[in-house]
Amino acid sequence: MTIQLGWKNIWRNPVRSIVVISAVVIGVWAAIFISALSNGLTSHYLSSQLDTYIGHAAISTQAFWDERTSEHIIPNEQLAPVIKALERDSLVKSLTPITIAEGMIASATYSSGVQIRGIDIASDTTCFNTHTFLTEGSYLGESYKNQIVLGEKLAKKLNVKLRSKVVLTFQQIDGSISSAAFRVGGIIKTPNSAMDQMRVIVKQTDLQQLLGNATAVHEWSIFLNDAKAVNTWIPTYKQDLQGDLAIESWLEKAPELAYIENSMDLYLYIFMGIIVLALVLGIVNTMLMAILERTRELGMLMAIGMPRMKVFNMIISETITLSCIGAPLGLFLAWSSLKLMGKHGLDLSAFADGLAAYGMSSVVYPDLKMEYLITISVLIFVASLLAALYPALKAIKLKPLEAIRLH
Amino acid sequence: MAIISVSNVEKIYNPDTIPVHALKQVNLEIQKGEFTAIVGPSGSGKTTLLNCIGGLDTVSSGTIHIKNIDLTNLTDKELIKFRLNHIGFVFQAYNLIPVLTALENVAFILQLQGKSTKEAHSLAKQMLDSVGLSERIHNRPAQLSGGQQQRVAVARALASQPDYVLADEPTANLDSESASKLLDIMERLNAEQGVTFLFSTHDERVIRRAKRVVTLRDGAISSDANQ
Repeated sequence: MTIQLGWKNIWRNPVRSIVVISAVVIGVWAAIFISALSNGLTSHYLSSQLDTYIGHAAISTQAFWDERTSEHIIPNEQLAPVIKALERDSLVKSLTPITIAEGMIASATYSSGVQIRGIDIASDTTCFNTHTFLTEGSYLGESYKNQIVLGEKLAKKLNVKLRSKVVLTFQQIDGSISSAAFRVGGIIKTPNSAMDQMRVIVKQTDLQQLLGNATAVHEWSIFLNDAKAVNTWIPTYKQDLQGDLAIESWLEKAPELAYIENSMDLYLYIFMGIIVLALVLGIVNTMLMAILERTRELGMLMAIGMPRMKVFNMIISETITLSCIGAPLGLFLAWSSLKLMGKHGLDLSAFADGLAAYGMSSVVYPDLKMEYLITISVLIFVASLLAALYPALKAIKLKPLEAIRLH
Repeated sequence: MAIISVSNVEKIYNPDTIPVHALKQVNLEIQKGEFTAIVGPSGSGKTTLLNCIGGLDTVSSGTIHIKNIDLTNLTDKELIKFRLNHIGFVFQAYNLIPVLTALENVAFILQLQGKSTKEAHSLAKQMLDSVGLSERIHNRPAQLSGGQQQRVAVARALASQPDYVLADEPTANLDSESASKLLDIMERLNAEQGVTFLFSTHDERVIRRAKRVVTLRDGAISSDANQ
């Protein structure tokens, strides 16, 4: 009976009720849509960083990570059993050895400090996706020696094109300085333009030869089937590694990425909080108006014997009903727009350069986390309940006689 | 035994600032089946007395017994329950629920008493029939005339089978014909079913038809006569 009367009261002023329902719909939609978009942006950023240059985990010597000098190579015989174990591990998707030298790249017009990464093409392409961002030439696929792949921006700064010559200067394993001419075989443009300017890619065999050690490896990059599982996976290997060997997850290698992910969660919860607060204030305002308009009627109901608790329940049921109509509509709207956007993504190419500077793609695909969906649904329900409390409390505090006397 | 017994009732508004004596030493007894009008000029205290008897207002001193229950000792919660089960109210401005039909308005009070929807609707139909509104049961208040709305209010007041019905200026907003029709119905219900009516009024049409007239002047009873 109370709920039935509450329902009829809602449609007493359809325009006002539709406004409240619309506010709930837009609130739910905005919260979900922005969450999914931000999550998609973060996920895409993370995967582009991990898949392009960082990997999910890496093994190296602690000395190399501390000093970044090419003399600290991995003792292969010590690592061999670990590599075998990794190859058998079902959680591991792929792994690849990398030879690394910090040095300078110079053309006739410009020079810059870079990290030279010597890669094993066969295994590297099963791990990293850098080769997919090739814009010109080939990815170390030419037959000649000393090919180099450069980022597009670095190539511009060096003022070099395909087949142009550049000179790499770096320290050999024995400490002496070595220089070698490389010919540009390919140009890449990854979503991370900053990294593209700081790293160059050469064949591992070429770099090993120039470093003076044909088997020199500085780092093994490891990819898991699920990057997020790295925290639970890594401890077993940490114990197995001997000597100076160390393994680090991407969270340790690039703590700024973990920070971005965590802070994005925080920002989203703050954002949801603001939306919910706005929604609560909107509902409180509307319901207070409704109570004010019905003061005399509420007084009459209590005068003829309607218990205050039933009046309270009636007001609460009116607000909850409005939210219960709005929330599923908002969820449906959010689901529809995410489905639509999931196909084509949100094209932000107008801001492509700015996004690339932060390592982000210009097309964002929304990615909705189930925990956000549950949080938003619960928040909206709790918010509408809270929003109903004040008007309902105000209603039951009315004195029947005073309320009836109002005109 | 009196159904309503008002003893030495005083009502003082603003006792701490500028005291206003709305009721002064009022003593009144109403027997079951009476058709009583409380009359007096504006500000004489008739509505205040009615509100006190209806448990809507508190007294400053004195007691009001309904049967053996002292209204002045009941808590707010107990008063609401008491009003629901013992008192029927007819307000000057009808005060129906605008979103409910005539039938639903009358059934509402029965549902508050715990009756099922089916039973409440069946009883409400009978009540509306007794006030001559059987053709209008599905109309909302806005679709009814003032007189018809007040008849719905009477049906609602009687639906809960109260010990007595309090009507505050029931004809004040009605034209002569509607007022006459309403009084006919109230008189008939009083005569046939023994419903106790107590109404405040300064409408001569009502005063003429009351069986007992209690006159208030400056908060005190100045005369009490049967007609």
